[in-house]
Amino acid sequence: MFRFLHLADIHLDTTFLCRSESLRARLRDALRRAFERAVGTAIAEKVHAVLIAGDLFDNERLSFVTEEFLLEQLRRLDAAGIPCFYCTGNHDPSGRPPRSGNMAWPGSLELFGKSRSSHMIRGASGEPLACIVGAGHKTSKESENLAASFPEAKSDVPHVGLLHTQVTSAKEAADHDRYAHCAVEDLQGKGYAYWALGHVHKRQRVADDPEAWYAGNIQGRHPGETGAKGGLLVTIRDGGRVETEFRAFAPIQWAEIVLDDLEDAHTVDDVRRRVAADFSAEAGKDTDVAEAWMLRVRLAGRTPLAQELRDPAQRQELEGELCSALDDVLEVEIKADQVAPVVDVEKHRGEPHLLGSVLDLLDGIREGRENLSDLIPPDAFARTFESEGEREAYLRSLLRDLDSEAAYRLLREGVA
Amino acid sequence: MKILSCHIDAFGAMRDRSFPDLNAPVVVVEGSNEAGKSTFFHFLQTMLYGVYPAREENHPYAPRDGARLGGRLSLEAGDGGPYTVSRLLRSTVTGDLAGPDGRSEKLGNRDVRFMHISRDVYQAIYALSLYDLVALQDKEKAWQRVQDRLVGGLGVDFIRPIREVVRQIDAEASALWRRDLRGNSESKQIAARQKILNQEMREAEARDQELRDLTGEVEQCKQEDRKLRDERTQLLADKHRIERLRLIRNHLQGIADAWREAGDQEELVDLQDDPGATLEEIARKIGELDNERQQLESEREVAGRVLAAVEAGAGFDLNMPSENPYEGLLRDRKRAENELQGAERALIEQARNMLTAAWDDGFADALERIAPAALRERINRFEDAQRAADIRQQAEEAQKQAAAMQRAREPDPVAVRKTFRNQAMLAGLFLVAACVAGALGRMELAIGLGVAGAGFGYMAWKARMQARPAPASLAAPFAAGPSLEEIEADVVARRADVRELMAGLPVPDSRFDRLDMTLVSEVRSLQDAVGARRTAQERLAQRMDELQAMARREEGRIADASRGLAQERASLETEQDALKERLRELGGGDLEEGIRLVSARKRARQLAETLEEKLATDYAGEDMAKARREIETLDRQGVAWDAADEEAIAVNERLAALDEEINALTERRTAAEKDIENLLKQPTRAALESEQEQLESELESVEARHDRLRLLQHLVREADRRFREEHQPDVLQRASEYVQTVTGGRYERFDYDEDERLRVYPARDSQHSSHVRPWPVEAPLSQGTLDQMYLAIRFALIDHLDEGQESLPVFLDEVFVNWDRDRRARCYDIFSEAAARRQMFVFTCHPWLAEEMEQALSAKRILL
Repeated sequence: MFRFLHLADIHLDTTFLCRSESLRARLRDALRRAFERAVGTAIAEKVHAVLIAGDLFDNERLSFVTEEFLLEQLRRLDAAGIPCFYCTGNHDPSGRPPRSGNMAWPGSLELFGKSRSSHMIRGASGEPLACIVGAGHKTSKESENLAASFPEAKSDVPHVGLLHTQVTSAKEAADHDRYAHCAVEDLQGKGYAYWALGHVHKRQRVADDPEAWYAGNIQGRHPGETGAKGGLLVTIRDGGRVETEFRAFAPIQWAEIVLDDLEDAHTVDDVRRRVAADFSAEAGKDTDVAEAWMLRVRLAGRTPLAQELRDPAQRQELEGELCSALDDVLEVEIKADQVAPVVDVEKHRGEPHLLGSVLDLLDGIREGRENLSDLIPPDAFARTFESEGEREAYLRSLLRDLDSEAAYRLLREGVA
Repeated sequence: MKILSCHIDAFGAMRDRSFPDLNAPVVVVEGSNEAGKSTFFHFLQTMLYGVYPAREENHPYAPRDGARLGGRLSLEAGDGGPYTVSRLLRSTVTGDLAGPDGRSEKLGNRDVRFMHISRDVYQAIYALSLYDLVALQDKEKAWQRVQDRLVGGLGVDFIRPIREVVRQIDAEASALWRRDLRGNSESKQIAARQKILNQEMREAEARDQELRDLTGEVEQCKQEDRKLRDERTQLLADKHRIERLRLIRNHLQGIADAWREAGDQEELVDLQDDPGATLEEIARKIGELDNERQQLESEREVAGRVLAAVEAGAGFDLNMPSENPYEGLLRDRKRAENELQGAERALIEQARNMLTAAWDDGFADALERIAPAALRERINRFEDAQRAADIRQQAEEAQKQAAAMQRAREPDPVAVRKTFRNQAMLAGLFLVAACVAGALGRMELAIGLGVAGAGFGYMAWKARMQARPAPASLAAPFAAGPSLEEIEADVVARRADVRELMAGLPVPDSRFDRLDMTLVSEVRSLQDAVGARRTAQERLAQRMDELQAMARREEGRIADASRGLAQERASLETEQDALKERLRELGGGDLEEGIRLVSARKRARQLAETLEEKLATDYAGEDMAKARREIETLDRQGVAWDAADEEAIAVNERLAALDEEINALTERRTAAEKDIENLLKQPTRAALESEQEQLESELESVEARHDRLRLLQHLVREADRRFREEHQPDVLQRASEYVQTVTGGRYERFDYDEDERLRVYPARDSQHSSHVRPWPVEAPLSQGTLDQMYLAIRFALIDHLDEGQESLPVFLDEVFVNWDRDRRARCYDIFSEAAARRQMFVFTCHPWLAEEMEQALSAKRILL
């Protein structure tokens, strides 16, 4: 039996997206605590090894203090006799700047940096337990399909592949840069028992034959990285059966609530109740209860409260009230860019007045009768685009609920 | 389309009202205020468009008396066919449209299909109120609004002016982002903070490098510090080792010196440490022995005196020393002597009381022989004999006297009884009188009388007693027993027995006459006194014996002690002589030198031993053999045992230098650590980049909001442009035709300038045809002209909307009420022109206006 802890995308000294510096500091601290917990779990579970599938830290941001912290934690593993296998990723490449290559790693850490290599892990009496095959990124924009170059397993000893890669079919893979990308097929047919992958921050099984997993990052960094975060405790039984068990390490968990059906919400209190109910359901989903939460509430669609919710002062007040009312929530951020007033747009559609004309124009754009690029000069927008397609897609994203917005602005007050 | 007639079942306050003849181009609906003009207008509109709101409780014209809102309306459509619309509001709205072919179409609450524009638009454009024209009085902005509304918005009043909307969107968008970076847009503020952050990030990187450098410096300081401290520790260890060994070495040297001075102690082994003191001690002991001998002599003399006194039997004024062993015994002896003297005095006194002669010890034997029990018995027998004799004698004399008295003084019984009776009576009287006196409170008298009564009573008793006969015994003679003589002889004999027992003692004879037990007591007392004296004598003798024994024991002890003292003294003298001789020998014939020499050597030995003990105590854990070896090694190395040596000075100087270097290093390290502490308080690049990303996110949001607004702004503008392109030329063309007609050709056409301001062109002057210049439709054009132009545009707009569709009726509500005749007359021209194409309803409360319109426009008047 071979047992190890699969970690990935720890991103020490990464950036955190939230509005208050004190909370960002708390999140940075949470990330360190998550890593401490991971190391503590590895020691407590007496694993044979810890595998880190890249992006252990953010190269350009890694501070001296964090570096010291990292080495201290690895020395804990070293002291416990647990070897650590670490392949570099696009955020901590082994090339320029060569941060990972210059650090004073403990002797038990095996760094898979510039080239692919393998390492046999042996038991107390010298018997082989597993062979770790890993390859790291040389640069921050590794384009080579590293998985393809992994050798086939040549013995019965379970082989574990350690790689930072974008498996193109993985969920949310598109949210990450396309570095060292590969297909599931590249992982198959090599006789490996398990692939310990990193890069995509959403924890997921990419393939089941062989088992290939993204462990996900150990602490969410922004509202998009919701859910419990941690690592995978992997056991490869004699005979090759693989068991994975998720262990939560993140002290702070992100959650996002989307409310886009607020047409019947007539008071801010209605919104507050809806948020509280949805958050309660969200917080109850995971059995790994987080110590604290960062909550983003995305409001969209038509609502009689559009004007109130667009008002920064009122929104801030609501955020404060929600933060006080919800248990263990550190911050509530309400995004209300997409809310629109409740207007009976349909009755004005096709009418011989300006609003009818605007609505007709919008319909024409949506239906392709009109070309946005012809209608709007390129320099009208703040955003710049690399391609016309990108610009078109962006502009189309702005069209959502613009009918209501146009009606709201064109109609005199009290006319719906 | 033309409305032909209508019937109101119930609408507002109206009930079952029929208006059968509305078939005219112009219909003037006349009625005073509250007559129902507005109700009628809304009824017509409801029939055409449906019931809104569709719930009875919310509808402003729903009857309050339980009737159902509803009615019918007949109209003529463009196809020529008459149609009838009927509507009824129940829980839902029902509606029917009956056509010319008799077929009915279910409308529900939909509008009649001839109404080709929405209710809102119809209400906004086809219903012209007083307000629309009053608004034209505002010279400043009226026509701008009119243009926007009539031409830009095709006359609907619920659409905000395009310029206002665009301006507002532009302001909001510009507050978020501006390409020209003017103002203080949100994006500009974010960009400014980002710029600062970029600088701060560079500083953070520099700080991180500085942190690394400082940490390295601290580590270097620690290493150097360790090195210096190691050297210092070694130097101090060497120094302390030398200091420690120096002390041991000094100790050892002192011990060696002392032993050297002590020399060979074997030859002094028989001598004390201080022979002078020994000699003095011997002399002192001899002196003490002499004193003891003198003391013994003194004690011997005392013992002799005691023995002499004892042997002499008297004279115990011995002038003894205050403390002597005989003191207690002498005190006892004195006490015994005093007791003896007391006993003798008591004896003499006792003897004087009993005996006729003074006490003589010769009486002692006779006295001893008297047994008190025997004496008591003999005296008892004597007393019995004497008593018997006395009784016999008294009896005989009493017999004799009784016989004589009986005879001589035997009383007369009668006289005695008489006397008794008299005296008893007197006693009774006195006692009765005493009782009376007592009862009366005369106590003294009562007592006196009582005493007298008692006296007489006694006398009566005495007389009674005298009257009794004498006892027979007295009268009877001693018929049996010894005779008086025999009894008396027995008395004598008994007395002689007593005397015999007391023989040898000079007891007076009279003491035997009346013998009694007192004699026994006296004898016993005398015997006791003799016994006491004897006891005292014996005790005194015992004390004397004890004194004598003690004196003799003392003499023995003193003799023994004297002998011991003599022997001891002789021994001491021998020892003294021998010691002196030994010391003289060691001192080269000089006793004093010998004493000094021996004392010095003995002291040196003691010193050596003391130093050895101290060394063992002070360095208990020290391996002394090893220490000796180290000392010998260091001696061989010529180490500077003295702190003043050059080498020691050099070591001290190096130590001082090391301290200084360590202090300097500590200061350097502390400063670096302080810097590190301060640096750690500064934000890291990661922290700053987080803020940077947050700002980028906010900027993205700001840009998106801006772009959305810009998109909307452009779309509104584009829609407006298209709208105008689509509608404006036709409207202006129609309006131009109207204005040309109603002004008699004075004005020809409308258009817009480059600022989209409405202009009107006057008719060409034949002379200046090439110089016709349009006028803005605003002052200084006259108000009447402006009214005509407004109505021309309004009707042109209506005509435009109806183009190709049904010509819908127009409603005008008191629009002319404030106009003068001339102004109204001009507008009637417009109305006439418009009425040729559509039906017009004019509502007024002024009969004169109705009449005027009837004449001017051939209008049909309907009175409400």
